Amino acid sequence: MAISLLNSTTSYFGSEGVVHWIGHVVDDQEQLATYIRSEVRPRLEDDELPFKADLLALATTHMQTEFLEKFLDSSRLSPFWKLGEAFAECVLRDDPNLNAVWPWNLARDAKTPRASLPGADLVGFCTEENSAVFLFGEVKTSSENRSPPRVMSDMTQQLLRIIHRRDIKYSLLHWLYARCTSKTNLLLYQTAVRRYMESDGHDFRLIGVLVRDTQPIESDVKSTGKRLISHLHEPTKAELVAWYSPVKFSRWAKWIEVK
Amino acid sequence: MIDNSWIMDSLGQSNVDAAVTEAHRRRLHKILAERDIQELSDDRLQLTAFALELRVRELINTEQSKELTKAAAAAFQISRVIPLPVDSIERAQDLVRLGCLGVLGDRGPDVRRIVRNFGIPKLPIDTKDWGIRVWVTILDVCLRLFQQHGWEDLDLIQARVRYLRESQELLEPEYLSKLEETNEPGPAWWLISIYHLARAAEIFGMYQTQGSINGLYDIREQLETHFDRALAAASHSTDFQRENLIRLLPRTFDTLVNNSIWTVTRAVNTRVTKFVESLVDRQHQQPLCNMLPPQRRTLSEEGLLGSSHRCVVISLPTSSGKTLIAEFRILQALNQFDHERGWVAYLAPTRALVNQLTRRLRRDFANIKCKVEKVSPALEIDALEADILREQERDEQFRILVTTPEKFDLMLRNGWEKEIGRPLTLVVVDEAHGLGAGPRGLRLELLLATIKRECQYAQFILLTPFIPNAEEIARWLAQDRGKAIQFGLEWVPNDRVIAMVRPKQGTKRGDYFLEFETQHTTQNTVEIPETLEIGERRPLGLTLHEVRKSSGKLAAATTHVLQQRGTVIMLEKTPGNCWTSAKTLKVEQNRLSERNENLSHIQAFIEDEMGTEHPLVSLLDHGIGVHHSGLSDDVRSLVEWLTEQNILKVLVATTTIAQGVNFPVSGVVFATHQYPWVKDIPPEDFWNIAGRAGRIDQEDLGIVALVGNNANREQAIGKFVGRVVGELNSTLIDMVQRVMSEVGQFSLERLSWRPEWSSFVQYLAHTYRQIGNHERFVTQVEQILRGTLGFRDLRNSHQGWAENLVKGVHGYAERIKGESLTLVDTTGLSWESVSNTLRRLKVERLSGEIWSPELFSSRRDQLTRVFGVLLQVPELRNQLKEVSVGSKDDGKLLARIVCDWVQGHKLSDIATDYFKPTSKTDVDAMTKCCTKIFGRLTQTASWGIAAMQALTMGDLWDNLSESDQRVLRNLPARIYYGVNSDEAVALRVLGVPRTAAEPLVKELAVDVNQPLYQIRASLREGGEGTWKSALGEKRGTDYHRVWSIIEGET
Repeated sequence: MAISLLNSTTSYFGSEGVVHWIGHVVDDQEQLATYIRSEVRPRLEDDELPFKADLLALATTHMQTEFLEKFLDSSRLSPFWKLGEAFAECVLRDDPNLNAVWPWNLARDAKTPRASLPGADLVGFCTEENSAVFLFGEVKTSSENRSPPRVMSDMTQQLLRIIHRRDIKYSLLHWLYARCTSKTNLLLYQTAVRRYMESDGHDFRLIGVLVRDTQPIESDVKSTGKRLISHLHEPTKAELVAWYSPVKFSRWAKWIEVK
Repeated sequence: MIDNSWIMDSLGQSNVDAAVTEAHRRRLHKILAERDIQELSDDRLQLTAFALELRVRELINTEQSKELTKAAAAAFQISRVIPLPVDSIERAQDLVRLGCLGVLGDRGPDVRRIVRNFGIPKLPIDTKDWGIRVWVTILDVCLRLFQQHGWEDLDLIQARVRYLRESQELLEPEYLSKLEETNEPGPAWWLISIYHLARAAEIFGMYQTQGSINGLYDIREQLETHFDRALAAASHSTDFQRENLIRLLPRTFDTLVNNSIWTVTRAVNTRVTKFVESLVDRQHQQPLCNMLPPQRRTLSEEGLLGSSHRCVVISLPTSSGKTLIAEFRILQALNQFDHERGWVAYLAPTRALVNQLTRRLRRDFANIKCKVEKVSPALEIDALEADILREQERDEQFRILVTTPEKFDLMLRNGWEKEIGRPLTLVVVDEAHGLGAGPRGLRLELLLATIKRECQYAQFILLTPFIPNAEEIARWLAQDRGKAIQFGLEWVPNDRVIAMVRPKQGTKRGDYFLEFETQHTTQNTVEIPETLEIGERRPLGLTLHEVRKSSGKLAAATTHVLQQRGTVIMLEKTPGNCWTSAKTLKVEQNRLSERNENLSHIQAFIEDEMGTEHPLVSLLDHGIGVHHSGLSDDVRSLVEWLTEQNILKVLVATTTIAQGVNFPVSGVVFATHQYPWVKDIPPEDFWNIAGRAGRIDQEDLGIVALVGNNANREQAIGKFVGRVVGELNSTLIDMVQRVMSEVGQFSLERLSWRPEWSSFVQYLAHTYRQIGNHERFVTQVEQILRGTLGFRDLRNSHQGWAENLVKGVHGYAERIKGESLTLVDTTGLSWESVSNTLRRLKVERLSGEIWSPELFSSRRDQLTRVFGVLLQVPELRNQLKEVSVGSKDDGKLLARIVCDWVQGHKLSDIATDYFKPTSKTDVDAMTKCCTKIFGRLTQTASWGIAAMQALTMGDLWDNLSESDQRVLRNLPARIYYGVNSDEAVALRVLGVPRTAAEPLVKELAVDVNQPLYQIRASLREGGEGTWKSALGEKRGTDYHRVWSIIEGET
């Protein structure tokens, strides 16, 4: 199955109830390198934030600025998991079955919501013709040889929390609302809210993305999929998407600088 | 309907309604049935709250303030019942979010209550984790800003931010070095965000206490800058929950700034600024930093403080803080006429309110040297009052005079504005909806018409609970310069529920419970579709038969259940009913567990004044107070005070309390919905008293319960609560209608015996005298009548009747032509009464020589004859006859009672001597005695004696020395105050209880020639010691405390 910009082959797929899972193997490492440089890199955090002005203004709070200045001044590399999340955002955006939309254009606005309380790695929309639903998701990267990798147990817990904790979903939706500043995105938001409310909070898409540099195997995601089934109610849909890199992650880190 | 936005459209109004009902249900069940209930799941509530909050987000940066307020208020009402998390930080976050929605929804008082009730979670302010410490500090500071628990909170806010600064150097580096390890800059941005929030909170706290930030007034700009920075930094921080919360803060703080007393009153004049400084001063434990939404709107948005309107009608719900609004208007008026030392008349309908308002105004204006005086409601000006009014000492001159409309009418008609020598600049009319109520309403209307016509500089401010035609009233008093400021149903100081309570038979034999059913009303009250069971089974041990048979018993059972959550007023029809219900409530279970020192002093005082066996003494032991006409004025004041202080759990009162008391309670139970004269309480009075349910500072939900012990009654109550508050109309229209249907024409001299028409013809006589020319009066009749509210309406609605009335007035003018009408103004009687009384006095050979203090002792026979004449005066006779009912010789009996009263006989002795024979019990006798003396005799007899003096003295005044004149002028005051010397009258004016007055006169060596303020000063300076020397150790302490309470000196 071909996906624009990044060609892949479907290694496995399956479904049960409202849960689907699929494994994509990237066909070509050169294409992957280009994809990461041109599509994924811009979605990584921009370290060139105009923090100098912010620090100057900080003096008006009568707090000390010295240590913060030093901290923010030192340039740093994004951690690898951020690369994984940015990759997930790109492949979901380019997936014609999902047409994910992340309502921001500039890298510096593209914040993965984190919190004192756990939230979700991905928040956006899945668009269909003339309609949209909210998308909540989690991303894991793993080079571990065992299947499923240990991170999948975290992912299962996180996805279950998204399903059951309405308060977290509402917070994420408020957060998303603040980022829907364009007319197009606002329209998507309105449509998704309408569907969400009319379904009593069930019409949304739940997505778990696993990024691997190992051999594809269905058991990577299947058990998580099966675990979710009993917790989901129509019209909620869940997708577990695994992407298998033909090269080790250490190569990715060479294509763009990450830690 | 919140609005028709896409969000509301998606959510659906029915979902909002269901969620609001569920919120009401949960609150009601929690407070009344003490259990948690869920008909609609938390999930559903959360969904609705989310959608409403989304609407808030959509509106938060727009100018659509009304829509924002509505959406935020609805989100707040629903969110408040969703259980809070257990974790203290999460809990505090949720409370701050709830607080923001409440403030944005103009539900500030609710937010305060909620934060106080839940308490600020115990947060790890001292944790070494800098990231947590800064965040919990902000949460704590925000909650303190919402809670505003006086200076303690305001000081803590500053201290917390200081502490943060002090500990930054120690803890921040370690925190940041840990971040280095994770390579995560988000939390560092978060710190920047919080530092700006901390500064914003500090700035706001400073503004609340000083009105400026180190001499700068650009609070909004400073706050905006910090919030902009905080938000920008937060959006780099990646913490979605905290970012969401921060997005609510700028507008919330903006609203808090709008509500700040400093913002509302800024740049008006120095007097206002000084006043505000005194309200926020550290001497008050609870500084008044915030204004309620109606106050803010009235003073600032509606521009009352900068207005040039001659008349403003403020029509706001009960407990909206109208008095404070009036205080600001007073300051403005005083400032306007400062050079001329202009003064303000503050009119209130009852003696209790006059006293209460005087205390409040004296307290509030103490620091700005604005002297507040009151004159008694007695319809005469005694020598002491004359001294107060004529005071020449600049610093001692009153600037505000508090009294009743009737007294003020008498003063103005007798030229007291001129006598005072300074202009009347503002008339404040409290409870102005009284304009539409019977003869007193007409008298008030005519008084306002007179002021409008005769007092050049007088402006008006009328304070009323909500009335639909406030504009019309404002235009009446100032055609082009009238303004109405109203808040209809869109704001209430706290939620209220109106319910019917009925007994419901249980499954076991003899078992029953109280069923509580919320009622649909014309106001925005809390309603749920189902009934609920409240309290224990068989409350107070009453049987089902008893509560079904007696509405009083059912009301007592209801009161007993409701008083467990706060003070309840139970309303009964008559004093007798009050005693019965109070007795029913007096069960061992209700006995107060702790002794209260003030209560003990008050009990000792009551025993002394009303007898050791008086039932109120033991009722007070059970936290039960009684308030009706069958108690002395002092005792009623004390019971009011005990209720205000929450020392009482229950106050059983007659429905007449609706007209005169101004204190909040948690619940009101109506054993009856009628006044003693078997007339339904009008809707405006009902809502006025219902408005007392729910204390602005404490209670969550005000409960108003009516009891339905049988089907007929239930039906009547259903109708009763469904009535709409009608327009405020003049009594004159009803009067004219009645005459037209009964007689068909106006012969005013024949109508003048009726109290309402007596007021009307007095108004005509006064105006006639002022114009001083018969022809001119005749040509101006229509114009004069148009000065009244009623005639204007009558002209529009019944032109024929209006013309008939004009004809009647013409006829009356012919009748009074050439008569000595001054006597009408000095006596407060119609010309017909004056001329008939003059004739009778002649027949009785009663002349000016009879007046002397001996009338109350050795020359009582002359007093008897005077009463014989008074009993013939239409304006007085009914009231006097009520005192002497059953007696063959009314005059003689009245004279005897008056003499005993003036000579200082104890109330218990007067009760035994005069009322016991016609009473079943001692309590009945005492109740009757107080009702007659305080409700009828003191007022009417002092008025009558003053009128008789005016009719008989004439030029004789001129032959008397000044001191003799004083003695005679104080004779009516001796009756009014029940003491037998001018010195004692002076102390009574200063609030000294009657039986303590004479002993204190001796102890203080009071000299009648001293100005009253000097006597007041020596009374204050003498302290408790003086009282002890005068009355003995124990009694002195009791009486001193009682006096301090009555005079607001505590």
